[in-house]
Amino acid sequence: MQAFLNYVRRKKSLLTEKTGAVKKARNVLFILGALNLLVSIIAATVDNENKYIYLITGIIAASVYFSLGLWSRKNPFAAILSGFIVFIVSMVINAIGDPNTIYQGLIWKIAIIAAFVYGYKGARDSDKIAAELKQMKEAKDFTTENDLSGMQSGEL
Amino acid sequence: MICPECNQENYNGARFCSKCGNEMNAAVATIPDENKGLSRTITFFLVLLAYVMILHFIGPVKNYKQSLLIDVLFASIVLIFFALNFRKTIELFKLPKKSPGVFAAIIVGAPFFGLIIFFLSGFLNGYLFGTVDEPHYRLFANSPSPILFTIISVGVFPAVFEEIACRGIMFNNLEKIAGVWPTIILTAIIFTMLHLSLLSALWIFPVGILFGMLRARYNTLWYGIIGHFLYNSSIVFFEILL
Repeated sequence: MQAFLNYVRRKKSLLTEKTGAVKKARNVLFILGALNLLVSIIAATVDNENKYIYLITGIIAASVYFSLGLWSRKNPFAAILSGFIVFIVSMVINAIGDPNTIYQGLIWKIAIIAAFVYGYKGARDSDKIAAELKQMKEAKDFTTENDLSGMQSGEL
Repeated sequence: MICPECNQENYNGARFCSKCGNEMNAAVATIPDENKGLSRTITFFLVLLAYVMILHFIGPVKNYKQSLLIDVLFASIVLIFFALNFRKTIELFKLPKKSPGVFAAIIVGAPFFGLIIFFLSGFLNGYLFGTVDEPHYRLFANSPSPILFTIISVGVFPAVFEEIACRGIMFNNLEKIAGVWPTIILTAIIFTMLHLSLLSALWIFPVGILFGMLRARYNTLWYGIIGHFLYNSSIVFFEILL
């Protein structure tokens, strides 16, 4: 019984950790959206000749990230994986324009990619763990008080 | 994992049965199919992205032979991953049940949408970048049959292999993890991103959603392939005619 309780506690702790990773990835999506918008506005102000290009691309990019951030509340796995793909492709597009951008902000880029990877893996795992815990909670054999000895109130 | 005591089905890797609490022997945790599927999808996407990136660094294509070589390379990459996911993907080549309405909508809708995009992209390129799109068929002017080669390169190859890649292989793998609608959106995003153009995303993304819906609804790639072919080919014809 104790081993089972430890197992449940471990699963709950894992669920908290995975949910945290999802939240971090969601925050990264919103931050990237805001940054894209800000940078495009600044670039449009500085370079008057190409301001419409900067504004349109900035608004499109920001809309994509904000939409993914909002979507991640409902479907975190798909939204965070999409954010990861969009981010990687935006880096590629920048690198094609200017290969030096590959090295610029490299540590931040690695951190963002790591947040996305942990995020979508966390999203996928948290769904499974939550479903497993729910299945355990609904198990018919654990209904008498005797069986629940050692378990704190509301543990399952 | 099936519990040996009560035959309850449990999650892969579960240490205790969720019904009777029996401690299950630590069965060798095999990586579930969906983990393999996700890894393969991401690897596939990154390989395609690397391919597209290398093409951009090499520079613009100069003649029809180079263009066809690039198409064959792309097709080869897709076919390798198709072979790795053969069983699930080949099922999507079954002919769909007769749906004359859907078929008619694709035959009429695809060229019509192509016409809209032909004018829209021309306008945006001219207004924003001050450039004019180079017609596709110019590259094939020295080929034995310029229009045929253009249609093969611009219409057939992308239609077949992009559909196999996005709505075939990736769709199959992601659907198991994310569900149908998130997969439709996700594959549309991948499809859009692989074109490496934020502006083109305005029309490529809705097309990706539509083809994803057709794939999910009818469980076949044929509608997507035909629609994609008609859309791309119609743009070639509009370039010639207009």
